[in-house]
Amino acid sequence: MATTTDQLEQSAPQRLGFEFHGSGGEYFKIWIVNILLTLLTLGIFSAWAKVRRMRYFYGNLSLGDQTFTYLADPVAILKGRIIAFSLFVLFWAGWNFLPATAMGLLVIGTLLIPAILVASWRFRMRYSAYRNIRFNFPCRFSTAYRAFLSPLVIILAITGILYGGLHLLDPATLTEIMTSNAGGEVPDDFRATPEDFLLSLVYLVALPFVPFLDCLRVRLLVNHSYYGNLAASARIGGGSFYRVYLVGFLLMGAITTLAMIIIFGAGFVAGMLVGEAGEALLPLGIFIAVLLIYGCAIYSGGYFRAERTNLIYDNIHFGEARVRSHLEFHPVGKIYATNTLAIGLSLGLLIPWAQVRMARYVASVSALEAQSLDNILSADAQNENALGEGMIDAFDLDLGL
Amino acid sequence: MSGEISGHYIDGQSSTAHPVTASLIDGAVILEPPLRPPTPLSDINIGSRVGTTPRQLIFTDGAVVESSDHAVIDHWSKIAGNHGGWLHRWESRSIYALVALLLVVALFAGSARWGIPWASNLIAHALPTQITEQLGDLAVESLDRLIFSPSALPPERVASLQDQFARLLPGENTEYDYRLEFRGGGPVGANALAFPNGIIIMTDELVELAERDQEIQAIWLHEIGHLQHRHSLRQILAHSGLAILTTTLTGDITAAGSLVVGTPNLLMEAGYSRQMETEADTYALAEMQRLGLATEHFANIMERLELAMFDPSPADQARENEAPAAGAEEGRTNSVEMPNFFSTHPLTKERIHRFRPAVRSAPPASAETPEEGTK
Repeated sequence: MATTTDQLEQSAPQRLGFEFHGSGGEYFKIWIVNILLTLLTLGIFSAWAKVRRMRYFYGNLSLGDQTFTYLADPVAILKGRIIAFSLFVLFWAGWNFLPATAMGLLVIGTLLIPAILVASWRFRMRYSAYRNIRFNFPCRFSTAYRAFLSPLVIILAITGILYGGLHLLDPATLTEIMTSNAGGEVPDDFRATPEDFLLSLVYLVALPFVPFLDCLRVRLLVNHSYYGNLAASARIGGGSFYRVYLVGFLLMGAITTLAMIIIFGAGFVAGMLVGEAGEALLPLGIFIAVLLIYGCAIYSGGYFRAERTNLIYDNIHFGEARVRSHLEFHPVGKIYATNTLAIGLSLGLLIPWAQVRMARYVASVSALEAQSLDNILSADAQNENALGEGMIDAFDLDLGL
Repeated sequence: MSGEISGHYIDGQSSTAHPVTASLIDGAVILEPPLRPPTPLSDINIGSRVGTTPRQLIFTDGAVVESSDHAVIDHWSKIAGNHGGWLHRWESRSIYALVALLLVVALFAGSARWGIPWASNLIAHALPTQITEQLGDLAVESLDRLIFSPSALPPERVASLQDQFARLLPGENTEYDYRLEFRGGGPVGANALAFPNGIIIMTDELVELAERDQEIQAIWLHEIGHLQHRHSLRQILAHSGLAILTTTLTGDITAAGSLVVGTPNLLMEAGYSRQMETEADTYALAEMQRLGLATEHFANIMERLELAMFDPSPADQARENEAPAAGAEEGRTNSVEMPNFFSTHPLTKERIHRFRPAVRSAPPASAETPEEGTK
């Protein structure tokens, strides 16, 4: 591989491979110490644990001959976690003890999503660096809300039309649906109100928009991200997201159904052959069958995971440079299925091994096509403190892209 | 003497990485090629070590030298007076990792077995009972809609039972406003449930199954025991506690719901539920002795419930009940009497056993007041 320090002008872009150098054994030791200290400090150490984990995964990921760096300050993460945990407790309490407020909390939670998305991604980007140049995500909250405004309006409009239509066509049924549980001596607070029904309808109508919303999310995150002064961009249309979601879930359904028919069929035949004597083995047989079917479902989810990742990353450009991602259905499905099995059988102790294994595979099929990685300038001078980052620094959540 | 490291110099303004070697001479780091003037080691921040990932020597202007020559860098770090890195030392020795592993396993097992039930108990009793009132209202309302039908017991029978119920209540010693209600059980058959709003619902079928009113009283005491010990709230708290514990392991809150980690959690929760049943039994046992009720009656009704369960004629298949957090129900047992780790109730045989030997120390059944006599 050509070294990235080559200053030669080349007509064709070089292909620089990603590589992950971590090992399961080495990471296990870091992981187990992290967990021990997190337990002993009642969660406080989790912020330091996160930094060590991220530094391990970034520091072992190389592109060309340089690795990535994670620079976040554990204290900032701790502040963010305290805020997030307090919010979580509030929501938890409302959800569990005040069923009447659950719908309201759901609405508030949904409305907070764009803000949380922006805050956590900005945190992640600001503290990620490669070649001593930081990434950045100078995106305003208002930009995020604007991005999601049009689908929200469309979803609300469809809901309104549906609700109005139902009302016109069959008011009796609608009234019945909305008041079906109004019998008995029930306090008014616990009857399904028209608002509850409308809200359920909104989430139902929103369901087919999920691939589109996913696309909007990816475009928002990528198109406002920078590496130094180099802007990232993603040219992805919603159509390709629909294709991946649709094929992914059809495939998963088909493979799982097929597995069910074959496994239960085989079990039935085996049962016939063994006869009465095998009855004691029935619970074991069912357990194994369920395990196998579960494994098939996870395996077949590999298509969706691989293709969605490719769709996102293979379309990310940094100026002239382009990220390449060539995950494949079979290896991804196999890794996910066997990872799940290993984690389950080891009661979680193989989690580090599983994570390293996945990281190694993903890195091995990812690359960057670029003329040169040199001379990309730091953008800190222009963007420093452009937004109230003191507050933002205190908000870090793992949402995962 | 102090060694030499090789790596890349990156000035922080541009992404260009310059291959360099750096050496420590007279307390100053000198680069070759000389991309910057010699810098005193005290002006350089040496990044801590994680595994074998590259280290950074960070200059005050943000420039760095990245290198993986850990032995030399560790040495320089020590010269600079930095005696940190204990985390790395701990993380890099297998024997320490093994100690950490054993401690983690012990902490997990201990938290799951004792810590979470203890903490849920503590928190549940620190919170006002009103917190779960709405939950109880909602559960009663939805069961009324989906399962129960209005009670068909004659009003004078209900009045007599209400009268008996009032005399069993813990009096001052409770925050609950206890109310007894009757319903037609429908698919749940002979059953009694306690709700965290203080309502205890008993089905007509259970009233009819009982041969003596003392048996009904025994069931009530068991249900009152569930409420006195705040089992609904403790169940919610324990469930959340397990989810948080799982999150420290997986680093992912959503993983708590997946099958892989969900199954052990389900087992633990079934274990907590069995503990709570035993607690409610203990309450009933103590109260029966205090009130001078023969504990035998509890054993008798449990046996009859069990028989009713195996008898296919009145019993329905749909005994497994929803709203697990809201109602602590009686009458549900394993359909197969063998130790079942997923079971939410202890073995009926064991439960009965607790009430049978105790009968000897309690007043004989004939000593009961006449108005509580047989149905």
